[in-house]
Amino acid sequence: MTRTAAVPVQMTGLNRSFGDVRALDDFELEIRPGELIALLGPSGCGKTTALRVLAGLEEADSGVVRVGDRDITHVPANKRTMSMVFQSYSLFPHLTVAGNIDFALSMRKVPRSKRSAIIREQLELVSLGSQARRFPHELSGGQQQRVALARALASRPDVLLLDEPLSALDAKVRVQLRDQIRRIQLELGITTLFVTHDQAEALAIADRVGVMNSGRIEQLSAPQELYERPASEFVARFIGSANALLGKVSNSQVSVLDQWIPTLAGSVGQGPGTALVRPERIQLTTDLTGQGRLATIRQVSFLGDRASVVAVLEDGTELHSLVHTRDSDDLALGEQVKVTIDPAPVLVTG
Amino acid sequence: MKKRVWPRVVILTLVGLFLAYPLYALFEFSIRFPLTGKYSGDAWVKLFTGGDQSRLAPLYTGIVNSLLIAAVTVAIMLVILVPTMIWTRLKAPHLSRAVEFFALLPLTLPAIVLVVGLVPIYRVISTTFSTDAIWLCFAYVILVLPFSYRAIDSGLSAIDLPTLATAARSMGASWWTVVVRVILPNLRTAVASASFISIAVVLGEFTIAKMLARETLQTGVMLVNQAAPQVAAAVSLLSLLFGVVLLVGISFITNRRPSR
Repeated sequence: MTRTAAVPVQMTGLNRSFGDVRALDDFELEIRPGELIALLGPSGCGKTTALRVLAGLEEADSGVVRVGDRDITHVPANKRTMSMVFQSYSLFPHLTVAGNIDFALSMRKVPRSKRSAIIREQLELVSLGSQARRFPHELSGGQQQRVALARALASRPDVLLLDEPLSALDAKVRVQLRDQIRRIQLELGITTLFVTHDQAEALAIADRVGVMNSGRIEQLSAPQELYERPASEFVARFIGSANALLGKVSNSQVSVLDQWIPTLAGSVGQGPGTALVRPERIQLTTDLTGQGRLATIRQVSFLGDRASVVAVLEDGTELHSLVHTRDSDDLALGEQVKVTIDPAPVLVTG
Repeated sequence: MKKRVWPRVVILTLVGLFLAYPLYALFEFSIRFPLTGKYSGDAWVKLFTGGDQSRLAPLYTGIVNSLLIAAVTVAIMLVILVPTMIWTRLKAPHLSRAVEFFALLPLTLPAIVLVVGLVPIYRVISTTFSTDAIWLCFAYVILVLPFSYRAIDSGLSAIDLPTLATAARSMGASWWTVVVRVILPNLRTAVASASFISIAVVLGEFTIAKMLARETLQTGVMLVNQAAPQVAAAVSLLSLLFGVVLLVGISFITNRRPSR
């Protein structure tokens, strides 16, 4: 499989409104050559609009879209060298699997003599080599999406656009296809924009994740950084979950549960604030002799290798903690525990 | 649990008899002389051998005219309706109610009322162009609109039109290619249904043709009925059977799926 000559993508100052609704608000995004960016956000945040503007299916009210060194802001969708995979199965029902891929190749004027070999190669790439003569209705949902992926990649587009391609699939197939997409994307080195509302999916597949809110990207970071160092309250609350604990900030440290914890950049500088602490950083111990605040176990939920524990402080504050299942054996309902916080930096909001 | 077959057989037989008996009566009338009660295939022989040309001439003219009008009507209906409905669904879904309203409107108008409105228009057509029956195609397009709209609408509802169009566009297809190579092949059944129903309506239409004094199959049958009623019965039977064949054809292609 030949690698694509990867190109960068630049979306600068994009605005797009639908009536009174501002779908994109001075939207900025730069995708490096060969990078996979996931746009993540709640419904209506503008992520699909951003993807459609990049695809040329939607025209921005203002702003510039560049692919490589070419300004494609006003280039129609069919003249952009991009391909798209959709949430709903978008295979042409009247064409076979091979026919669908052949259609994509014919649109890019690939000579007829070369098409059979490319179709075979593409189907091998998505492990569907034996399904070439089947019709879409004879395939499962996962197989259809793999064909859609093969069809999108067949013409070697500059940019691959994935619009929630896994949303309609069941959990197991979703994980398999997600890994397959990532493997192929790395193999081909193709610049990719992946839109999803599933944060686990975004964090697992992307080089960088852009969390969108109200038409703009709140934070664009590597998955781990996004999780551990959220730049805003919205990101902290949207990615994973967080305990909101009242505290006082002083000298880049916040005092919560009788502990001083360093604050992240973007936190409140001085005075009272709310520290957003991830559940896995709330530590519970049945040894009541050590440091920490006393709490009572109210609920323990089994989640597989982890258990979700709700503990209540003496002042009534509810804390959500995530512990390894083996450690949760000692945590019985109504039992008293000592609570401490892992002292890594936290975001403190006003 | 084993399903009992006989109730279905009884019901189907009764319905079949109910529908077939008038056809049988028509056939019987076409081969029996009312006065003598004797049976003869004369009417059918005349019809197929072209005997008694002078009396059957309006019938032959009517058949040719009706087939031509049906073909042109179907062509105009498809050219108007298919792109409009695709465009409405893709680009202006808010207009779909209005399009549906106008397409179904002719269903609420009796043909005779339609004629009242059409007479002045056809007067102009007759004086400006000609009195050929082919001009009836415009009136018939209005007449077949509700039936063909329903057929095409159900075809469009069966496919995810926006996604298919967007997918094709993102692969580099022009709008023309999207319509011709992606949408129309998936509308084949709906387009065939709309066409067949339109042909059936056109071949059976009498009021407008009669009131506008054009020669079609039905006006031809009426004229021949006065001079050779058995031939008229034979033609009516054939046109009914043709309608049945069209409907069976629709049902056949509607139930077909692409296969390997």
